[in-house]
Amino acid sequence: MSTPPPPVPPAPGVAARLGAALPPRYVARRLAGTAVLLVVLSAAVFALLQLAPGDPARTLLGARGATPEALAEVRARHHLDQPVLVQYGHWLGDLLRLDLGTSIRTGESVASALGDRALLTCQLVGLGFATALLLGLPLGVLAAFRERRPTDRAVQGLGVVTLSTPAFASGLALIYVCALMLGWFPAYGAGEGGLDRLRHLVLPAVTLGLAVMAVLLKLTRAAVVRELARDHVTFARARGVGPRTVLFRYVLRGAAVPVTAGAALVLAYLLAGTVMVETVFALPGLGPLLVDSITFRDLPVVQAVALAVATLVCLANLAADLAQPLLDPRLRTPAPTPKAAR
Amino acid sequence: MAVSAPVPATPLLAVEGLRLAATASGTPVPLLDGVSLTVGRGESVAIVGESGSGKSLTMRAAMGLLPDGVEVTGGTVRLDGTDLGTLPPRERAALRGHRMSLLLQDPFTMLHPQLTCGRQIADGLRPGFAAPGGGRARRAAVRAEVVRRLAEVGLDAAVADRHPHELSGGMRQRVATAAALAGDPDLLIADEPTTALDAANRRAVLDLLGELRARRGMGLVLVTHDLRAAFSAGDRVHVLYAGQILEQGPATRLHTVPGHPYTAALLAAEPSLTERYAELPALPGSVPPPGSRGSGCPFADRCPHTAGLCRTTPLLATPVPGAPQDPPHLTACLRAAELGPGLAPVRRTVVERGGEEEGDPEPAPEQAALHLRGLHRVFRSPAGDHTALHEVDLTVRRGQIVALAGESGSGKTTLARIAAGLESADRGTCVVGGVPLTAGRRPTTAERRRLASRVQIVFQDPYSSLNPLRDVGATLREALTATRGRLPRAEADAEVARLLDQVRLPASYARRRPAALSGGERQRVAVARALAARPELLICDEAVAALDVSVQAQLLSLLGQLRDSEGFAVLFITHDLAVVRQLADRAVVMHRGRVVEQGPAARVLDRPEHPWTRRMLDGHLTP
Repeated sequence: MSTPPPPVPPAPGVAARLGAALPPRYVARRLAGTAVLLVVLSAAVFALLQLAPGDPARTLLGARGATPEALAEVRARHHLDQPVLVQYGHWLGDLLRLDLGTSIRTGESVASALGDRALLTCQLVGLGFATALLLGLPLGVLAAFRERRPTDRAVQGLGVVTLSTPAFASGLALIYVCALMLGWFPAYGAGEGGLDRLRHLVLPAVTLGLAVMAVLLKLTRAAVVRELARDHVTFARARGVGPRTVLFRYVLRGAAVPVTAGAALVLAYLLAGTVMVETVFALPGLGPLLVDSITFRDLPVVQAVALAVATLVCLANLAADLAQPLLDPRLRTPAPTPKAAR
Repeated sequence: MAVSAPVPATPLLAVEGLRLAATASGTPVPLLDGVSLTVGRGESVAIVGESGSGKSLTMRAAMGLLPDGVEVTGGTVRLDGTDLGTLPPRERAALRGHRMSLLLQDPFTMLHPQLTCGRQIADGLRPGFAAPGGGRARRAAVRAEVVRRLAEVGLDAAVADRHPHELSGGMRQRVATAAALAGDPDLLIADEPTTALDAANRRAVLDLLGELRARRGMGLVLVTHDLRAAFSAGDRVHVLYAGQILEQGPATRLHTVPGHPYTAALLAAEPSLTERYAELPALPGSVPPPGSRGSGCPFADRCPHTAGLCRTTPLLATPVPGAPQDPPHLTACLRAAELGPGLAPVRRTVVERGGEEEGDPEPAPEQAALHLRGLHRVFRSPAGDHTALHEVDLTVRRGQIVALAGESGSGKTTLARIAAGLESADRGTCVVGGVPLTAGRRPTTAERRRLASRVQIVFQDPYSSLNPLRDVGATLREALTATRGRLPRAEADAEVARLLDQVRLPASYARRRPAALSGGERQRVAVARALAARPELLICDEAVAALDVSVQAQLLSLLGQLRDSEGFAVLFITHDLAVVRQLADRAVVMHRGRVVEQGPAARVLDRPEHPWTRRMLDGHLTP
């Protein structure tokens, strides 16, 4: 073929590609959406105090003597004598300055009570999520490639077992085997500093990860099975694209969109699911604090924990939303077809 | 095309006595029963057959890409003399792309939606060609090659950075062709490459494949159910039916002097662009499903010439009496010699249809089945506005069949959806069977109920338009209830039987689920469901486009007869002008949201006035 070579336009640069893949308008809309959601959540959390039975001032005083002076002092500090909207404004203002109020139970500031515990819980959730991903994704891909064969059935069976085992049971089993019998990891506590902390968190993270691993496994398996049946995978094989490229570039790329959206939900579920694991492994995280605070009607702490968890869930969803157009170009510019307009 | 070149001693592809069976259910069910064919270098061979004939499976077997549950149970596939069945899987995989490649049917699913077109072409390139040195130099070399490949299929270099969803169907099929040829194969198998495209793109893609075959000197196998595509693009044609080859020979001979009753019947069932027939001679019945095929000729049950021996004698390909020897013209018909010239294409009576004349007075809006004036619809999106309908005027008289023709994206479907009350117009008048629809909003529930007795719609895909969980009776009873209220069970059952009888299906089909029906039968059920409301206007949105030729002929005849007996009007949306000729009284041609031409069907097809109509007529494939 001796046709003169056509002029080759330069490939678009990284910045141009990123700009096209993540349109600023889309990002702005998502951010605005998240901000609105956070405001609504904060209002709901603020309403907890108003909705609690009885006088909010008495609720905030807790078990302390409700002398008229004390009540008046609490009312003045929390602006309880002003309209609800103004109260909310003050509360939100304090919140933005990270002034979360005072714990009724201990009298110390909520922010300092939360600080270390939130860090520990985040570490636990992060490690647990990583465990779930590292187990769930490869096993899901494996099961999909061996669809309806013994390997697939075994992997899926394993998933059902881990899903149906409550965290306290699997946690105790892990403690018994790995800590008491084998002595590999400590059985309880949070440990001191970097590596020691990591060693202490291995068993809780595995317990937490196992509980949700099956969800990711099933999601991944279903997505990969669907991708494998698609024409474009057959076409890639038929034109001699290597098996590794077919797996990573064609199959997994296609499966990534539903799996990412599902993973964000799993992460949210993990945040809520730490309570039991932290109790089993005697970890001073947010979970036990929340349980104690609810028992003692320690409203400012409950509010702060609820808000922190809700914010993290929102951010996880925001991350997943922003990942969607990066993964799937069809979501970047909605095509002007009758279907899209409907 | 020159067909006189002798087939060399070792053909490029030689399939011999290939047998396939479905093994998923334990006992193997034969799907393919001893298929043999050869393809030479630079030769173009068409395999034509109805759905269920095994044509795609034959070629998947040649590629070594059979779906799970289908296995080779006999025969060989040789590429350049090498028996592919004996190669280890790794070596077999290494042949794909570089020696043989496969192009699939649907340009909308064949390319990966998340990868750029350039990436997908580059993935199939041979690894050896790139410039020495890694990184930047290599990437630049790959990119230059991708741009060269795009130019080869007539596409701009900018397409390399596009994603498939940003391109039209025809462009996607070109990108897919470039990707299939990226490894410079000696043999390209194209599996229904034109089926999902409209007429203009069909011609263009076939021309492109023919051109690439000639320039590269590669072998081309064209698998299709479209007779026109097979005869216009293949040097030789194999006719496959129920897993066996019934006839093979040079395209021109098969077309003019078919040697098998099946080929003759298929040719007769094909509507013509230039002549309208009193009746398309449709084949009765459908392809026998795997597992229910006897030892004799699989076509015996539908053949008008069947004799006793046909049902018991295994097929054997014999030369057609009086045919030249090279290339051979073989038929599997036992009675070919005695039938002789009786097999020439069935004579069809040409009719001149009067119908509507130019200049007939327009009926009043309330008197027409459909009355559209100045209909306008824009779809807005961040990517830009798209005018789907631009000031469209259209009238369908009562009892008239109007064909709406145009390429994909011309606004035909939007128009149909507005007329059916599924979509709203931005402005303009729309009166359906006397019911006015308000522009700017969807119809209310009350309006929708009134509308349902005036207009009904039949969609293109009979596989997705019926609920797979409900039997046919339940689907039809539901349609009856929707317009006539709840009927007593006995009355409803009688109505269901009457509806099934109307579309020529036995009453026992009421207890079947869609999965137990063939494509043609499903489409009949869809028509019956639409007729349950006794509409004044039946909208058929590409209702025969997904069907085989013989089934399409059955359905076209059925629609014509039903129109005559029931007196409803039909708005028939199609991109096939031969169907327009056969069925329509009036033809309306749309292009980019505008009606560019309309008039009596015969006048529009014989003396087109708009260049776009002429372009569509030129794009029409003729064998």
